[in-house]
Amino acid sequence: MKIYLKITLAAEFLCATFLLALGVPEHLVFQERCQLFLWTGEYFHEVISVPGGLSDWLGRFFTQFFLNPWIGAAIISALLVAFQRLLLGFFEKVPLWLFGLTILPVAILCAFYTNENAMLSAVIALILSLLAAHGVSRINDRPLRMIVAIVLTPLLYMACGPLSLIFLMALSVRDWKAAFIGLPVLFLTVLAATWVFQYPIKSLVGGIHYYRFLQTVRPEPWYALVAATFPILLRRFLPKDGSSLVNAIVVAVSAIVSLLIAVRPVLDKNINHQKEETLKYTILSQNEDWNGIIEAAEKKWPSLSPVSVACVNLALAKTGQFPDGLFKGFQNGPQGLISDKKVDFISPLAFAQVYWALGLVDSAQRLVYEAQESIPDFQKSSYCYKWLARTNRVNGDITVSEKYMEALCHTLFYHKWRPSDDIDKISSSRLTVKDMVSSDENIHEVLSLLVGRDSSNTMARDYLLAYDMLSLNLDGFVADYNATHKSREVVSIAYAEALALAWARDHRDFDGIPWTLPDGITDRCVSFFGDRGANRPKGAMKNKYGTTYWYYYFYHGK
Amino acid sequence: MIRRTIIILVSAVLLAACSTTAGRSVAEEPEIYPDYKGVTVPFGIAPLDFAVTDSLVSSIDVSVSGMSGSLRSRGRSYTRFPMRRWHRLLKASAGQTLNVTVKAKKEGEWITYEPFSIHVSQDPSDFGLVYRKLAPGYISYSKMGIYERDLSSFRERALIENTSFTGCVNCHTSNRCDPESFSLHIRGAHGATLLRAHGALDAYDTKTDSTSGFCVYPYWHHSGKYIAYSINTTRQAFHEGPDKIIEVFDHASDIGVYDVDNGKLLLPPSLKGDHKWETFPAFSADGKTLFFCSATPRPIPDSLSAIRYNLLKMEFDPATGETGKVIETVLDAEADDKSVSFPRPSYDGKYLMYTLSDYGNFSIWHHEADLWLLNLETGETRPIDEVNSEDTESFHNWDSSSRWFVFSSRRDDGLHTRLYLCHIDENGVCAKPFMLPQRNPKRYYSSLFLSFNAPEFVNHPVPFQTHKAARLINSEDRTPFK
Repeated sequence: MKIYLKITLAAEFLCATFLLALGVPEHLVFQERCQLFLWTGEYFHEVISVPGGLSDWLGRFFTQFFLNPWIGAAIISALLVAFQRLLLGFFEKVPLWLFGLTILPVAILCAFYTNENAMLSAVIALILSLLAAHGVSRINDRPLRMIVAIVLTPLLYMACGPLSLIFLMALSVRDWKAAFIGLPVLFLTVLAATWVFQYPIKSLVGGIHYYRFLQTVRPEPWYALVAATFPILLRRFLPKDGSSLVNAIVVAVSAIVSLLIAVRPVLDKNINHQKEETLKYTILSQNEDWNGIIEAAEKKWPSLSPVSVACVNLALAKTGQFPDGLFKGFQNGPQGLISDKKVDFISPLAFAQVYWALGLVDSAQRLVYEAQESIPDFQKSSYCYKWLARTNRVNGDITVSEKYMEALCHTLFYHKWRPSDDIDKISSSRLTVKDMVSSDENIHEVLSLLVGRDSSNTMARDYLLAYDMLSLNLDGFVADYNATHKSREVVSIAYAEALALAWARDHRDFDGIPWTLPDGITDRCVSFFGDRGANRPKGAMKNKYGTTYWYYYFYHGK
Repeated sequence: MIRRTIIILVSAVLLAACSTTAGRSVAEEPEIYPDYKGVTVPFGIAPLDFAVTDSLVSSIDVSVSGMSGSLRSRGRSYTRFPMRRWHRLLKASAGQTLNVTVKAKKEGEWITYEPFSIHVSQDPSDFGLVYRKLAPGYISYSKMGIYERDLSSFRERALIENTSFTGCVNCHTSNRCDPESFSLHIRGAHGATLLRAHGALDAYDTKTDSTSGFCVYPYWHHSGKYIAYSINTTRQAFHEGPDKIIEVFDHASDIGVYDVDNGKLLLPPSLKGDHKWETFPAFSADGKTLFFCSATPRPIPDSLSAIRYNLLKMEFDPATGETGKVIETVLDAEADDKSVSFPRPSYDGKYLMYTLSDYGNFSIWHHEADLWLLNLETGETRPIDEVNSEDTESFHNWDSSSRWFVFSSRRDDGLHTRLYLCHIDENGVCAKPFMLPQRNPKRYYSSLFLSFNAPEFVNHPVPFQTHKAARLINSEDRTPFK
């Protein structure tokens, strides 16, 4: 291959890697978290026994390495470049304009893979099919070539899914008759599949595992397939060498269009703020990177989803900055503290961390289990398996815990993992109330029980008081504070503000206030009420008091 | 020279083929999984493959012998009995006892264990089982389906899986093990009740103006003319202690009888209303009695552990579909601080099997749940101690001869439900149950994170039109229950 093509392919590889690794790193890590790749015959058999299974298995194999987003980005880029390279391999001569046209399908696929639910099986299906087309094209005996093509067509459908259509299209470069006869064979194969497999017809025609949502057929892999056929179809009609001007124009237009296509989703991700924010903070929380969460929040405090706010609050608790850090940024009620209402395959994992830290092991287990069961393509998650091994061990369900660990033994990166020793600390402080049922409706009751059970569970106490504060329940806060504070306790600023506010509701001044508050709190409280009484604009109040509980109490949500 | 070489080679092969399992004997039975020691099996059952659980064992040599023949299996740690030879042996040994001798190579030495027995019953069992397989989860569900298992082999086929639609496959039942009449409930966005009756499969909307919810737990009348349903408003709550994790309960429930021929849901007035929660209907063998469970409503969640179901019955007229006015208490479980669920009369009319737990009606999540047997002739009731374990025993069903029953148990690991089959003689004495056989069962069950649910026998392969069912589910068309 000409040197300039090699350099361009290398440049594409680097561009795609940087785009993915810098643009959507959380998406890549998320991919790895949504699967459990097992090195067992049963797993292999289970995956390959549906159309597209082999490409799916290979896709999952590579996705294991997405633990590191740079490696994940490099793998995707390498696959994209391999796809383009295989496409180019069908042409004896590769004029620049032809090369330019092959960038387009690569860009479409690159854009597709910025989506955290795009599965590698799509590009692998295209690669395997092109490899098969290369192999068959090398058969010189025409009748044999035709027979092999006919036999391979249904096999490729089973291995790669409907994107194996590209096999016939690529084969047409060498032998259009074999490709033409292959079409009805493919059609009959798909028809037979609709009788054999329990998937909707649109999935059997559009692809089952090209996208994480099984009932959804994304068009991007098909756009890429169509774009890949342009050079195949046009090569017969266009000159083998183009003029320099034509080459330059085609390459330039193709490159610009491709760049726009590939970059657009990364730019668009700023449109879906809530999802991106949730994903970013959830991944950091899963990594237990509490300082990383604080750093991110200090740059831009999350405000779009209770999940991300809950991650920040947990990080504050883990780094000893709770509750004073609570009102440095946006809060909007107790659902940003702890909640089990939303059931999908992202949110519960963040809240599971909170429940676990509090010692509510059953709820942590439930949320992890719910998240895993919500993965749309029915895969399991190595991340969730670790959690379930942990929670079941604390619950004394050792057999179940070992079952999860035995499964993890068949993974590449988790086979040596064992639950850490500190789970024994959790089991000693957890609730044992036999018939206590917990839900969002009685979380306050559960937190109270936790604190009553173990006064050293300071996080439970802080969350109990924060729950009252965020619920605007000052009476509850005062009662809980009085019941749980220790005599020599230094009152944190946030609690002091709440106590001052509770006192100020019913008293004209702070004489006789029963709590020893830090210096300046009462004066500032007076100042706040004075400014509020003077109807100062909200913006001015926020500038002056935005990090106080008083501001939250009177202005949050407004 | 050549001749000598051949003789040496043949001798070497023969020597290698000869049993090298001579070693010492021990006066104990081997520890195996599943525990098939002393079980009673039907003669048509699939091979009872098992694994020796001692991790130091590197090879095993197992022979199964009876008066009518024997067979052998050698392997690393688990058996792989040849299917045809197994069936020939069992068929020839019906009514007899087989001896299983296990020799295991442990740290270089062969050990011969005390033989254990497997009793082969002369009573055949039905063709197979139908069950649901799903994860023992909370609210969300991933892949699940209804499966048919041929009991004479390891073949399992999916009747319907939720890959073909968005939703959940729920309660299913056939008419006294005859799958020509079949009911299957689908939950979710494409909710429906699929009914196969008189050879036709159709999708129904079972919610009517007079009912609070969908028809859920079905039970066919043996005539095929009626299906008793409960209409439940079911909720879940989640415990926060290590002993129990989930509670499933009804906020309300009533019972209705669906007239299949006339397409009408009959709602007995005495089984409707908020004064009682009625559920788990079951017709008697002669079809003239309707059994059901009933509880006094209590505030939830505060009084969750005080909700207890008794077993009641009332007359049923198969000619008109009407129920009697008098309701009798069959079992006052509440008086003993217990709760009855899943009443299942045997088809020969002699017994009624049920699950007893401390409270509630969703006993699969209760570790204390056990199977009990009520003698319908004498009124005596007893726990089936020969079947129960330290963990959950629950959902059970009879085979068409009433000589076998299948039940769900969590004795394996406390979470994942496994199926056990058990023989019961005409005097109500149960044999030792055996776990549903699998090829390489240790590996199969240890890597299976799904539970078997709602098992029932079927006397022949289910004529289920999978793709038609998927089309019906995915379409909007529903025939309403009137």
